[in-house]
Amino acid sequence: MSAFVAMLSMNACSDADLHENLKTNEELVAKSSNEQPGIEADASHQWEANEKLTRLIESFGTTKNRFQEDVPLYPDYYGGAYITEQGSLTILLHGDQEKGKQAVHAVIGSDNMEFKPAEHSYGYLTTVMDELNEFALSKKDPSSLEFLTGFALMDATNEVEVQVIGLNNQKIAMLQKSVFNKAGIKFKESTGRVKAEVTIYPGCEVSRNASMAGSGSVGFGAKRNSDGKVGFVTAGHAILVGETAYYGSGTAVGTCVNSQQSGTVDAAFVTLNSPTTDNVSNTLCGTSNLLSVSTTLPGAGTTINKIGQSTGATSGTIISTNVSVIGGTGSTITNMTSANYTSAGGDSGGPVYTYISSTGTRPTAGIHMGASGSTRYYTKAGNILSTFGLSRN
Amino acid sequence: MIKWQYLTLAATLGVIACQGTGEAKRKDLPVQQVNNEIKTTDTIHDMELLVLPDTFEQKDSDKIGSYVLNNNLEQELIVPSSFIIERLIDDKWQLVPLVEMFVFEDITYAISPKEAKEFPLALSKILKDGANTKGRYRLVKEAWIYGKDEEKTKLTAEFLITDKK
Repeated sequence: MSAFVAMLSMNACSDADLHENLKTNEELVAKSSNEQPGIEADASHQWEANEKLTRLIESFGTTKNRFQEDVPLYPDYYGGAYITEQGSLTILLHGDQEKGKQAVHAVIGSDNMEFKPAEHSYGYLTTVMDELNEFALSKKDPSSLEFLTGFALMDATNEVEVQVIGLNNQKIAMLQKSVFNKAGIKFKESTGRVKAEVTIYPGCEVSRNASMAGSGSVGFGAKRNSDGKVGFVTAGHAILVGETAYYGSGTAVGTCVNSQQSGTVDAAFVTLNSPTTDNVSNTLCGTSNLLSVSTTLPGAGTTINKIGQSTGATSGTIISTNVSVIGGTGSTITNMTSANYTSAGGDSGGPVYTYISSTGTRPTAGIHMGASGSTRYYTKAGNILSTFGLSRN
Repeated sequence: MIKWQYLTLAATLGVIACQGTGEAKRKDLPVQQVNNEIKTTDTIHDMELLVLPDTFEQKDSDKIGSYVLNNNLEQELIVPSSFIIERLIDDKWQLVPLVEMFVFEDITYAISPKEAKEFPLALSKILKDGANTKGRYRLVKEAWIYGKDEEKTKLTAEFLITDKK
């Protein structure tokens, strides 16, 4: 209730940031300071204030916002509210203070509450938030989203806080050319993107762009033999060495350390940036099926499966196990395998595997590369592992 | 990444970019008029496709060039790796066969607003005749605005294979 936090498509302003903001306000003693691991925090002393605030907001009635969601119809005098650590309700008033106090008293009485003047009405600030949400969700300006980590309506300070990585005048000027040029917006240096634990699934979308525009598919999990670094394999034409790999709604998950479109592979290896929190699953994207860590070299005529972010799961049979192809760069790749499953743009890098129902196993055969007419091609898993010095993980 | 300013200069060298919207078949694509200066700009979608260089020498056994897609839009542009190559024969564009071992990668690439992306075009390796036939050619490629997959635009860029450069 006290803080309306907007999440960008892939990030949000962090709890740590919000806590920090609370700590800067003398009336809002840092609630985190009393936290003890494993012990539930008691808010019973704030219950009465919360109940009053709920009643007050309910009295406003509702309206529809620009997303056609039901939201409170905040009166112009209401500037927001917050509850102190001691349990008292503080209400911010915009405009005529006396008129505002009378309106509040008429609904929830006058006990145990304080008033403070507010420059902006809460209704105005929520409108600003809606505009920022629309800006972020529409991804109209991907370059701005690269350095924006979140924005939040801060009740206590009566402003909309916009968090920017590497805040400087140039970025502020750039943002102010769009929806960020509004009264009540305050820019603040971001402490970084909030990053949830990410599980990466073979066959799901991976991109070299945070916006996820232009993408391939995750191949399979692997571990580098020399130092044990874990990551995943994808197509070499999907990402280049040094590029960041983005997953899900645009979370940076890893860095490409190997990428090759020659020899016997069109493949890349991406090491995870946060191997302690993120992991590469063997569960195939959108299924409960487990990809086996064993690799296989199925012969011509074998039934084969492919899973990719564009066409999902498709199957076919192997045509040849020793094919040379020319890729988009003009270089020849040898010892590829051809098959007749279907695929489309975006499936590159997705795992190709056999399914042995009698044992319930799905040995990894390789990763999808591309198409020539109705024929599909994949790089053998064994060639990828030996070329980059990896083990299936 | 090649900046758009550079491409503007390149466009004056005589390269084509034109478009037909939707899922038009090849025969529906507009036939270009033969001009000394070949340049058409897609004024509807502000996308430009260029082949660099725009002229290849027939006797050159290693005809390696590139194609550049210029995105002058405010949105990200998506392009697949696939394309077709056509040659103008008797005032009709006809499909030029590619070598069977040439594989289009199943990937989509994003081009940021106001930027361009360059892709290799190894003509002598991918045309079945080794790109040894003189003539007027064009590269045909689809592109679409990110999130609008159903509204594909066909872009073309012409180039020549001549016996003199």
